[in-house]
Amino acid sequence: MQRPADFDAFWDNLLQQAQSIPLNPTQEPDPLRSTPEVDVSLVHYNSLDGVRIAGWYCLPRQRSGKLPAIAFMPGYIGEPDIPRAAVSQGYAAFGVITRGKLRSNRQFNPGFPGLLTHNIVDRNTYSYRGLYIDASRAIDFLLSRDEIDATRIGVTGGSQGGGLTIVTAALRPEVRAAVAAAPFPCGSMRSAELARTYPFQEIRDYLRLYPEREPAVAETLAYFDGIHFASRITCPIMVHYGLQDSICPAETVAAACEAITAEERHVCPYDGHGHDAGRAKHQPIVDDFFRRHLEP
Amino acid sequence: MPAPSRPNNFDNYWGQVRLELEAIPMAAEEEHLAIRSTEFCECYTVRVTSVGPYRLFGYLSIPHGDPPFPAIFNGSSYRSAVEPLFQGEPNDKCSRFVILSMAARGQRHADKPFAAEYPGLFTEGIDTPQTYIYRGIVADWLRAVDYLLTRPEVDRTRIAAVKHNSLPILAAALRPKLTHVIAQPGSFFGVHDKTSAEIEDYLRMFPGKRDPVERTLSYFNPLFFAEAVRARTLLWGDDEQLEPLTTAIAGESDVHPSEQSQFKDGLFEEIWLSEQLGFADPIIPSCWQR
Repeated sequence: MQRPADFDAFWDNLLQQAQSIPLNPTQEPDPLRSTPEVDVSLVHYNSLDGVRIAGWYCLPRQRSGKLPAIAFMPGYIGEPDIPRAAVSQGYAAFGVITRGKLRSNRQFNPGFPGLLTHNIVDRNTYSYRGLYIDASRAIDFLLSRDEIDATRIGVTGGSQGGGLTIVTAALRPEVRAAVAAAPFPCGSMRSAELARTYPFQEIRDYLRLYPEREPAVAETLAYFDGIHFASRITCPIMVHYGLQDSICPAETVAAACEAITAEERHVCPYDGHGHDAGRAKHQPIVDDFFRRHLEP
Repeated sequence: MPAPSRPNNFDNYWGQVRLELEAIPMAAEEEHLAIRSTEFCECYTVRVTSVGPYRLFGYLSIPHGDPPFPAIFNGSSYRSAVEPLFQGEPNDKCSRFVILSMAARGQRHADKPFAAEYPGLFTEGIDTPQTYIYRGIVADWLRAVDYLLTRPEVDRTRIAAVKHNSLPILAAALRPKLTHVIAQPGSFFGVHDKTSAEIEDYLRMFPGKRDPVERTLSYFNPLFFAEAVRARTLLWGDDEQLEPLTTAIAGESDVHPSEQSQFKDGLFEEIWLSEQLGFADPIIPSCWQR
């Protein structure tokens, strides 16, 4: 799948559109989810097409001075966890809930399965157009907070959250460090052929029913492929993945890693691991990476 | 929070759920779902009624070829979405098994009138056993098994309930026609999992409710169901921690600890399930075959 010639123009234009939308953030404290150490709030902000996006915002109860922050990007199908644990490491943490998920599905709700192929023949209305901007706007939310140090913002996530990490790091120069696990989607057409598992199976399902639409599907997906975002990343980035990943084929994730041209790039493949991306072994390395770059 | 002891009216409580299920027509509806049908299977959406009455939703896939087929009941996960085939499982698995993925009340397509929140579901109505949401959710699991048993394509000697939580154990006790179980005992058994934090949150907010919460949870402790479980069982977890449960389970059971690898754990589970259901060759993703 070739990178479209107007790929950068397409996304720069969308970013410009997004910047013209007032963020209008709201922050509602959630006493039930707060602890003696962590204040938890449910946040909402505006994104593309008038969709209101939610997120879990966690701050240390005792704090002085500005904080580094990490945005946690959500996976495809599950509900995002509240990232309270990151607060104990000295960060503000923001768990982003992109469109279509519970709490962000009032105006857009194609379901799962369904989201991956929603308007897939049209890049200008494809689901991930808004979804990627939702992720980018999470950085705007963090930048809007007085307690956040704008020079120490990181982003991370696994699976679709890994893909959103790559996209956000590519679109937002304010991101200073990024860690993506088993990023999705990369090389979507090839992945659908290789994986034959959900979520990529959704693309196969769609093309089995509408085979004549394959060129239009491929054309759309080229604008949303992690591989094509990778060359825009300039911040330090780490990618880890499993060589036996049955959801995100290792070949396609490796292609995204190769496309990253950032000066500091760490690629960590794990043999004997699948979609877990070796997290149990790798997490201390991630913690150290963020500590070095975000200085909590 | 492990449940303290078996409630005195435990059998009556679950007997009442069974009676309510018997009293309400299942009223099954199926609709062919072309977009999820493949070269391996035909897929249908399914709607059935559970206690309440509450209308449930599921996906049913039936292999091409001559029935009967062994069946896998994919019970509800702790999230809103339900998939025809669990994420990461190869689509040709549908060529071998009837697979039913059923949403419990509150999940997508079964979220009217009750839409579950995550986090939030685990403590919904937890102050009393009668109001606890899991009374209905367990009933929904039983209704799904009832539905599978109505399908002429299903081989009744090979029906497995699979989910990495405690509920397959409860279902196997209350629906002994399940022949195989794969489960991962969690907070109902006192093992920390993603729902445990919700109980901690709830008790932090309402510290005076510890006793009623413990009492409610005791109706859902798999330990108190174990003596009625005759299905062949695989439990994910720590041998020592699960020992009371494996001792109590009436049927044969295996325990396997996670190796913290979706590949290794998935491969073990597929081999175990395939062997149990009579197949020497598991159907696994191609990248696991290298």
